[in-house]
Amino acid sequence: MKQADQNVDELLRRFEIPLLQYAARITGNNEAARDVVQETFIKFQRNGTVAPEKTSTWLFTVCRNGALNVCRKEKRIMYLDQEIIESHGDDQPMPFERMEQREASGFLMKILATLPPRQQEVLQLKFQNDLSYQEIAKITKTTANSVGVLIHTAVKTLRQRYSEASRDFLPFESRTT
Amino acid sequence: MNIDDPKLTAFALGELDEPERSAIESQVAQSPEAQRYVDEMRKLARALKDEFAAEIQNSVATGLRPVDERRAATWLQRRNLSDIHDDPWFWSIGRPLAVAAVLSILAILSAVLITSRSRHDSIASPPTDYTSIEGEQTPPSEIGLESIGPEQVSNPWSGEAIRRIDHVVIGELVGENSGAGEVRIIETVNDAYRVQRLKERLTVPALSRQPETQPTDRTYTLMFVDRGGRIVAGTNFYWVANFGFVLQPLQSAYESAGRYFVGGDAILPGDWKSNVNYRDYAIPFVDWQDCIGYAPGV
Repeated sequence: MKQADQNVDELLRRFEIPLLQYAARITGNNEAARDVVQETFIKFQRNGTVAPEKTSTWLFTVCRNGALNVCRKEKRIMYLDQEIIESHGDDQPMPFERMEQREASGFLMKILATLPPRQQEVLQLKFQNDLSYQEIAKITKTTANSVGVLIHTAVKTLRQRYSEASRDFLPFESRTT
Repeated sequence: MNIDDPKLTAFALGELDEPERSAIESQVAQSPEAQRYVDEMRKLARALKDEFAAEIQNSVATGLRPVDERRAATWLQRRNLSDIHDDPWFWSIGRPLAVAAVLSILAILSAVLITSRSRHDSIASPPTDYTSIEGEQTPPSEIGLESIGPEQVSNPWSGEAIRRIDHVVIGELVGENSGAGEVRIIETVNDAYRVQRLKERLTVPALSRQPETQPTDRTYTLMFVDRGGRIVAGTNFYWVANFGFVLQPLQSAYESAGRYFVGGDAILPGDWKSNVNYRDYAIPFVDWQDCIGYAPGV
């Protein structure tokens, strides 16, 4: 039996959900994400020669390629084209002292969903999967410096939007009969 | 020290190698502002890790499940097929035998087809009973309704339409006549975060039957518009006694010269059932903040 066969169950337990979420974020479709992840593991099993320390990079790279192929087939090229890195200044006060004081479960993820896709992608790879800038660069076919700029810009925008959203909601005067 | 520097973020996240790490560390030690930034980044990193971890925990509940049993079976089958590629027996003996078997079956089928066609040429074939065939299949529109319940109908909005939403026009419905009227625009929501929140309101699996609608002081309308200015979804927003704040789907709406109207012949995208009066159904929210998160016009 190949090493890949022995490892595949363990890898499934460890990577299946993160890969599903990664693919779903790219394709915007849970069904398509399942197919992509399934194909990723089948390719992994067929390949069978991935060094253990490179397994996560390999899986995310193959998963990403599969998800982008789905987007291409559906002619949803927006994801590929969206390279815009927001670079406006940030003069907001540090908001996360306040964040600790309020119920913020899920709130941050909703703000994260408003970031450009590439910024969401690198944040997911970094903070969900503990990948290094270098590993993320290999997966996303860019440089570690670019990853650094993307992450820096993304977290800066997150802080700013969190601060804005915190004061966004106004009291409502009921107009009921 | 400039805190708007990606290297400072990289330092905070432990991404720098020596000697760069030591150099930044000494600069940070001399700058209270940089220290505060690094602390902030580390807190943010922890918060993001926690939320991503929670997302994984919640993924089963939210529908992003791993492969189900049926898929797993298919997958297993495919995995077995992939194993065959490495099996020398398959290539030397199994594969030629399989090819021969398939060719034999094809030959038999051809013979049967030719024989049966020659019979049908002289005997009129009875009409096919399509009702019995269709009766065995579940219409796509019915799937999932069992779990929704009799007081509910499935959400008519398509994911594709919701994805196309670019901005939201909010206004008050004026001159209402049998549900139709003009939307007096209060504001246009372009902010990505607020648009995202409003889009999420449309993603519930089902709409609930609302009680007999009482006249309300005011009805607000939300027009969800794509980049091309086309209305892709619409809802009314009002209060129903003993039910809550509701978003009630609009089946038809149109835009003309920058003015928005409810009603008309233009049916909005969606899987609208002909036997459902969508004015009877709505998405209820316990309070205004859960509903659209702010008060129009305040």
